[in-house]
Amino acid sequence: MWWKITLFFWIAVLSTIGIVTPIAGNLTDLAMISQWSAEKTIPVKFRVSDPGAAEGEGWLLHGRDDNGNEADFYFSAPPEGRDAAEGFFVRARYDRETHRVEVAEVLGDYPAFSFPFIPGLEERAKIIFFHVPMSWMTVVAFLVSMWYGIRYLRKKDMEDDFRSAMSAGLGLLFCILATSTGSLWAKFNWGSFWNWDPRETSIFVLLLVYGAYFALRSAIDVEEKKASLSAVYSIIAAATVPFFIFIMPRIMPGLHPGSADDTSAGPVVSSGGMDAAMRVVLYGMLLGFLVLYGWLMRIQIRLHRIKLKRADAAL
Amino acid sequence: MYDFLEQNAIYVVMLIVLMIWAGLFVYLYRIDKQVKELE
Repeated sequence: MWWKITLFFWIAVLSTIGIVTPIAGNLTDLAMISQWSAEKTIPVKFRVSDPGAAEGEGWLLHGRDDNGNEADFYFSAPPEGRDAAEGFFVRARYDRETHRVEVAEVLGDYPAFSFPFIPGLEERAKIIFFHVPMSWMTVVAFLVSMWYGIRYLRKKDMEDDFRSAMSAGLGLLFCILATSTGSLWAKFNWGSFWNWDPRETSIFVLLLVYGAYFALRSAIDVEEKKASLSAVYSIIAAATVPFFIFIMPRIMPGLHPGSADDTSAGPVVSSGGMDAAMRVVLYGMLLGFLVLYGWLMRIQIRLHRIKLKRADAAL
Repeated sequence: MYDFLEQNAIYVVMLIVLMIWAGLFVYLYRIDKQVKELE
């Protein structure tokens, strides 16, 4: 009972942290964005190093970001609490002619906890907490399906066959969720719902491979034959998973992070290219969904046992 | 609608979370149907 409540709060709290935490950039991000667009504003946090003075109708103060870079920040109206403020969280742009940061909007105080600004992704970077655990759970569920397939072939226990099929079913659910969430995101980040990026192509093939698994199962009526054929199929199918998830998308150029032509991040998590706070939330979400997967498996297995008992009693 | 979501990307993330909830809900609904059959 208690672990289930804990699981609920675990996923709920981490999802909330993942969504609510502000994205805050620094002066380096501002300078980079200003090269692409003179008008675009981004969220920036900085500490006040000199409270400054009135200039024209506005207020000019001096600030320093987390990397120790300094700049003049121009507020078009004197900011509230400018005497006491230690830092600001603002939406601003860098003016390359006056060499100062023009603040468009004050968002609040200096945030204690924030995620880094990633040019081109911004708020959309938060998909990683939801989309990536889905695809990782796909891998786990398909590998567990293979594991029980092997066990069935060795021990000929019908419950192993059932577990193998249920795990493949959950894997397919997670696979569909990873694909559909990624597709919606791609519309807003890459401009189209489907781009045939290597990772999109490979997950599409995985959907076909595991779709065929269930077609195979429903086509055979004799229980033992169904079990051993689908066990063999699940082993062969799972052998393709590491290739489709971990190898092919990394040796080909593509849109996902970690593609062969990606010079910025590499495989985001394993190469350490990810912010520590984001990584903690991502790993926490992964753990939460792993336990959720285990719970759903247990419910299915218990349900299956009850069904078998009922069938025995009816005979 | 598209413009709004493009300007407010956090709602794209929210829609994604709702999609995941919907998927899990459908799965639970199917388990529930099996339990009902047993009852």
